[in-house]
Amino acid sequence: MKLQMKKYINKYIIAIIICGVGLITSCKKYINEGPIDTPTDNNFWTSERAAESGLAGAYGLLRTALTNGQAYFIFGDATANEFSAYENFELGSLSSINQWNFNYVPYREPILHNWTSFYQVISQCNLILSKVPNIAAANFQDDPVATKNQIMGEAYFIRAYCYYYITQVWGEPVIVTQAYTDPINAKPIARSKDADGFNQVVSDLKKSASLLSYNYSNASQVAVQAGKGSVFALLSKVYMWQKQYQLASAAADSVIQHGGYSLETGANFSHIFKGQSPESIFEINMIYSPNQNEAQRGDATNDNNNNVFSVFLGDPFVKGKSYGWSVNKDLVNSLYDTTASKKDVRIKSTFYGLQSARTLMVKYANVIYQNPQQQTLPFVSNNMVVLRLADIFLLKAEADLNQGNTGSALMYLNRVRQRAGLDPYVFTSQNDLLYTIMDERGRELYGEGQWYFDLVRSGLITNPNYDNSIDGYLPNRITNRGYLWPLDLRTLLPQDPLLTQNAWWASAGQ
Amino acid sequence: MMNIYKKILICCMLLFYYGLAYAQVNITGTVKGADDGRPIPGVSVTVKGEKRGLVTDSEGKFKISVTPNTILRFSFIGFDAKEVDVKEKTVINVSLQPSKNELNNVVVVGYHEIKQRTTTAAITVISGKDIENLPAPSFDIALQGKVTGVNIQNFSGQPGVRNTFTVRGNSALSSNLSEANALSTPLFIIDGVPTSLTDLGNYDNTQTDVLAGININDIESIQIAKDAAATAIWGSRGANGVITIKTKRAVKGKPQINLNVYGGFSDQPKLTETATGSYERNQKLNFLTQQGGVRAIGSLPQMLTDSLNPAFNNATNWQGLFYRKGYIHNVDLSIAGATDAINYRFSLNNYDENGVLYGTGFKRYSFRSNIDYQINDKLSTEVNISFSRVDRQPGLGNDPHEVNPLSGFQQPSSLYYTNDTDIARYRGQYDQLRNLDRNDLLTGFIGLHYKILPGLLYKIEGSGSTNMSENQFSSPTTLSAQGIATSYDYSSNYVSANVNNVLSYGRKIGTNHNINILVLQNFQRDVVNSKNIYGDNVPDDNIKVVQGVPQSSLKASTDYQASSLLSYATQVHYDFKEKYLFDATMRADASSRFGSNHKWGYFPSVSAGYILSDENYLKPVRWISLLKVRASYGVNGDQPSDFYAPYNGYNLTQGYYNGVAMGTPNFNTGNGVTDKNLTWEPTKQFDIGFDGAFFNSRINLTIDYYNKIQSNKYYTFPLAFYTGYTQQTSNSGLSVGNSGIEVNIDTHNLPPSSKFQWTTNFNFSYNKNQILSLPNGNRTIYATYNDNNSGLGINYIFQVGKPLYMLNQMIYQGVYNSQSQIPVNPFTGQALTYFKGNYPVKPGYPIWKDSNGDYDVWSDEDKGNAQGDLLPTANPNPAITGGFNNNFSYKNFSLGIGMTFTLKRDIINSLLSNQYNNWASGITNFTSSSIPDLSKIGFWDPVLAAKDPAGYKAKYPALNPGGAYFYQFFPFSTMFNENGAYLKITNISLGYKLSKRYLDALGLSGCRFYAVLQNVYTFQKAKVPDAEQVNPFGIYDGATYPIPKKVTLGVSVQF
Repeated sequence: MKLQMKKYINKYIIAIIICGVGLITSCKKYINEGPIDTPTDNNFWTSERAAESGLAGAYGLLRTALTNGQAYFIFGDATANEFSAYENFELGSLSSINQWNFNYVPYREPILHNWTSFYQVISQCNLILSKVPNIAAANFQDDPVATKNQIMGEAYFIRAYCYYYITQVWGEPVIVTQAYTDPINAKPIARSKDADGFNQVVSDLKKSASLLSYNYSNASQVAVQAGKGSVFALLSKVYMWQKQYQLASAAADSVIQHGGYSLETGANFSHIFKGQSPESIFEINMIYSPNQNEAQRGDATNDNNNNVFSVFLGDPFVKGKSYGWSVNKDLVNSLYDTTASKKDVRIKSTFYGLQSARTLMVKYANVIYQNPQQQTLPFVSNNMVVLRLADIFLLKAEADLNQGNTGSALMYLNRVRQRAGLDPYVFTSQNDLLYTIMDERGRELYGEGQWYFDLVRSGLITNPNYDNSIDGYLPNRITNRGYLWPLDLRTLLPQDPLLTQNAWWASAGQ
Repeated sequence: MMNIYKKILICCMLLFYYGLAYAQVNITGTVKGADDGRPIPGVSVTVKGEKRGLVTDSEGKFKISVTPNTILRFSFIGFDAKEVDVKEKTVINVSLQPSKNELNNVVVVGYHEIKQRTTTAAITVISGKDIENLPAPSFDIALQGKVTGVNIQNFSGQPGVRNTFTVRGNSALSSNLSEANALSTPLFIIDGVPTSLTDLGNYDNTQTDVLAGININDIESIQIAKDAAATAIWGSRGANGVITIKTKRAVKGKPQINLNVYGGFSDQPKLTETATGSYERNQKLNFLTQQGGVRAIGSLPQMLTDSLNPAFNNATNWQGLFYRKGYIHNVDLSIAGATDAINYRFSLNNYDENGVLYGTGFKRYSFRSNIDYQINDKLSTEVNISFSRVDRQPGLGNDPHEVNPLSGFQQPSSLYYTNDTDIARYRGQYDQLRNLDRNDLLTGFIGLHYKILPGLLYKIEGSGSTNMSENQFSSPTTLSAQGIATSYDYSSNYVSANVNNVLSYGRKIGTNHNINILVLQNFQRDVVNSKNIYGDNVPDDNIKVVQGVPQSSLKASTDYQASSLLSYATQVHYDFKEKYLFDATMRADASSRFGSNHKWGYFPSVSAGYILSDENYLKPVRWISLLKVRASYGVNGDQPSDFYAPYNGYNLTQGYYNGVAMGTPNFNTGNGVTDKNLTWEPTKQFDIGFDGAFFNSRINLTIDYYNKIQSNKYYTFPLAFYTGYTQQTSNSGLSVGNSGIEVNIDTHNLPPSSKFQWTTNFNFSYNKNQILSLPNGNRTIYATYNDNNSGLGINYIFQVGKPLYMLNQMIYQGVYNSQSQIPVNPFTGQALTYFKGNYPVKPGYPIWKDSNGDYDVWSDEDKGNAQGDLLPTANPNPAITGGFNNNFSYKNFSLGIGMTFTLKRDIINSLLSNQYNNWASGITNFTSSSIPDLSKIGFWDPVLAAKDPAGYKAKYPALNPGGAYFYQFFPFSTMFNENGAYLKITNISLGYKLSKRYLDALGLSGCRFYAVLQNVYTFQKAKVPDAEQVNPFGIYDGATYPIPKKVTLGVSVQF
């Protein structure tokens, strides 16, 4: 009996020891166990799908950077006096009576004084450019070389666009072209010159052009992703900043000759903003789809970062929404001939309520209700058009004029005027032609985040001879680059001690 | 156990032998406890001067043969030993007094069981008896004021919600100022199962306190381990103290059935004093004209002037809409019994408390089974199983600040008309919502103990616990502004498995050397599975789940996360004559939460003790029962709360671009970077302590001094913008020190012979919290807490040398009475301005100190200067906390009074700030809000100021709803700071034990009636209703759940 018991006990011990040993060996594995609810740097960049997802990430981040806090329209339109009143009190400082005091936009500094969101796009592009070439060819379903080229080409384009935009808005970018693996120990970097920023754009776009083609293999990607046409369109805009008019004109030619784009008819002017119009060269996808929604809310939400188009709208476009940014009617009356018998077709597609106290800008007013019966949960289903053919026509006209080719300039200007239902412009003088092209840009691109930069680039913003120069900007401010936005050094400086404030804000602007 | 019988047999035979040699007397008797009169089995009975002895049987009986005139000694753990002179007696019945000297208790240090007398660690033991029948959902509330060095504070009185529990000060820094992780939390070991509330909380959907799953009346003891000697054995998790909870086991004897029932109510909270009806109207009219002058009369709102309008001539009681009287009831049933082979205890419990706010309440159903079985003399097993279901009604939501839709400053004017529809709409938020918060907690534990050789014991223990938390919510179309019905079901299942292999060896070498060595291997794995299903546009209000929802309105996600910890540890104890004591521990943890370069963490500790009272020169000093000094030093740690902290997860859930899911690193969340060097946060702690017992242990005193430094703490660093990453959580240069003194005094104020007994416990601790270093070269950190309801910001500063969560404010020094009092800049001739020159100061404005002397007062943060005129002002960390507890007993009556106190704490009354700011922000807001008696507040009165500009001292600046509004009532000045000290009578309990005469008649073995008053009274200086109801940042916002007063009556019966 006792002996038997002992046997049992030994069995227990052996069983326990086996259990114990088994456990210890499996423990090691568990201690090094990584997450299965998310990919990590080690296993993400391994397939075509991941590369495409990463590219979608870059586009999506760009969309966030441009739309956050209505940044695109504040930078490009509000500063050009296109609006006279805002529903958001904090934007009051941007109005003409406050002399476009960018220095004090309360509560919006994290967006308007901070370029971090653009550097996230750049960082994502850098990741794509460093990781995608290493994805094994076997992990591609489509042709590995062509697909890699396509993805890399688009990444170069997106990065180029970011540097272009940063240089326009804040100037003197910090140039980063490597993907950081150890950002905690990143070395401080100083700002480069504007010229370096634009050179970086040109260099990226050249690489992009060599990798992309004019034709899209997938129709769903037309214009909402970059093609060779988008590359040349942006190239022509950069060359304009660099005052390389010949190159700008040539790049515009590439777009016009090879891009396969065509102007919408005047009657269908508003279709340009409904997505993938034949006129559109590059646009940010924000179309409503119930399941993968990329559109933003149309009603006034508390979230300033998520109502980019709705700020323009009010009732009846969005049921129950009382306010929208008020269009500056003085500017409208000065730009457009609103009294003429033959009216500019763009007026109707651009403005609502010109006769009433509050005028709305309605380029983006394609509202879809998620609950159509109750008319609740409105979404604005429009794309944000960044580059389009009319813009390139006008650029081409400006570039050719600057090279003395008045005939070509007139032709391209009048193609845009003709579509708008206006009589052709009759040449009087070089300067008048330049002013007319700039006015035409104002009319054509009202509320498209462009005109302020055109005025700054051409220097017409403070030109006393130009009718639509902006009174509020004193020549002194423009000379000292006070057209650039200040940086939120309180947030940005501690991690980059080499960062400096823009000159105007560092001294007079304070 | 077999051995014991053998020994008894041998003893008896020896006795018989001796009996032949001498004239022997046979003595029989029973040993009972003096407290409850129940027999005590296992009492050792020895003959003084001889080596022989025996133990009492399961009914407390013994039989022994001795020579006359010898002395018998009766001793048993937990009771005072007693000596009886046999003389001529043949029957000796003994009743033993429960021990008042707790130092004889056994404490558990890590895996060692050791007499409290010989431990070198700072451990406080609370007996389950001290907290039984307190009407609270979880034991932590019952522990309030009972343990020195432990601060338990309820900032919400909502039943079943987790409150704060810190041991030896706070070391957590929540840089985004979230309440949930504001304070550090100890590790809980519940019947051998380590439980981290932080980990559980991160994956919980219900926000219910997991500790509330434990029935208080199942608790045998709670041990609070504080210094490194006691906690180092818990390695990477013990830095913030370790609380060990043991549940009850049976004592030998016949089966005992215990039925315990109590019930009672929580009082409806005291309503805030509010002006109503015409009194309110007149006050508002007078106030507006007094402050605003003629201009105000022209713009008086219709609501005030049109007193005949039925919409505005009411006296509605808005507070009464939501408060009610709450009821509590609790039933416990337990069956326990033990023989030599088996020890079992089964218990059932139902606790039900409905809250004092509509739609809130807490229910617990729990079951526990503890079984020990002695398989043979070498092998024994232990099986514990517990299950509890906890249902909590959270009211409006899980945010502690959202329990009342009209809380605090949001309360409307009484003039408004309210009808049944309005009431239904407000209450509907409780009635029509379905909001189920349920936790099912299941724990199983099996231990096998095998005695390999005498003194050499091997234990294998396995346990599994699961916490299934489920939040089911449904809101009908009627409650939605969009007219949409919404339902969701979020559930998560947190499973924790634990395996221990423990080998221990204890031996007495010679007569003087005691040695005890233990090695262990431990593996713990936590796995969380969660499922979230959300649907909008539920087609019918009668569907309260996610059914029939259109595809486009449906969202679902599941998750799986796992964390593992592999550990090896050793504990060594050596003592010489139980007088010189030494302990050392070493633990090594490999955690899956550390980076690949630092998988292992090492945690040593050493400690020593010296019992002076055993020295010969002190032995004659009769009034000293014990004098012990002890000291310890060691290292603990804390591991990241994020299971995958070292990994850089990619985010694929942020949306789509052109129909393709966006895939990017986590640029903004703080875990976007692979962090191979991530490691534990080391905590070094030094402790020196003194234990003394005097006058036959009638006075027990424990004093500890400690110094605890936690360094290399996790901190979320901002990263350079050009990397794309905005922040990363990692080890940093942040270190926090807590040092302090703890004193605990237990006294028996009357001699043991007295029928009237009075015991007192007084404990207090002083803690100094200090930031010792900060990341990025000690750069000061600023943070703002945004009030959940109003969004008002309160500024905090983290600076080296200052405590955590120091308030950063402008100094408020009263009100300017006249223009001549306003300072003028001698260089410009301009008078002082506020807000960057926008508001030239006028009489009636607050006097804010111009700290930087630039003749403008403001925080200046938008100029890139974070400090401006702000100064570090107030410290919301309590410096002194403690308790004062008295127990009285006379014959069958007992009375206990428990008190807790907090001294030297600054708090901020953001409710007043919100209210005044709301009134000041415009006539509409002023008119539509409820107001108290305005004349009692002390707003600046221009008439009084004009009369006596030099002497008039208004408490608050002018409140002129029609005048200048420059955020003057924001809490960014010290205007609303208050003294947060308080003394609270937490409970009074009265008991009566039925005497034996009645018990026998009723056939019962015990019966006790009791009454408990909970949260009786608070003595405080602050004007807030309850100085305890203040969050970890020192803020009282009036929106959290009031702490109710409770009255319960109960009876406990033993069969």
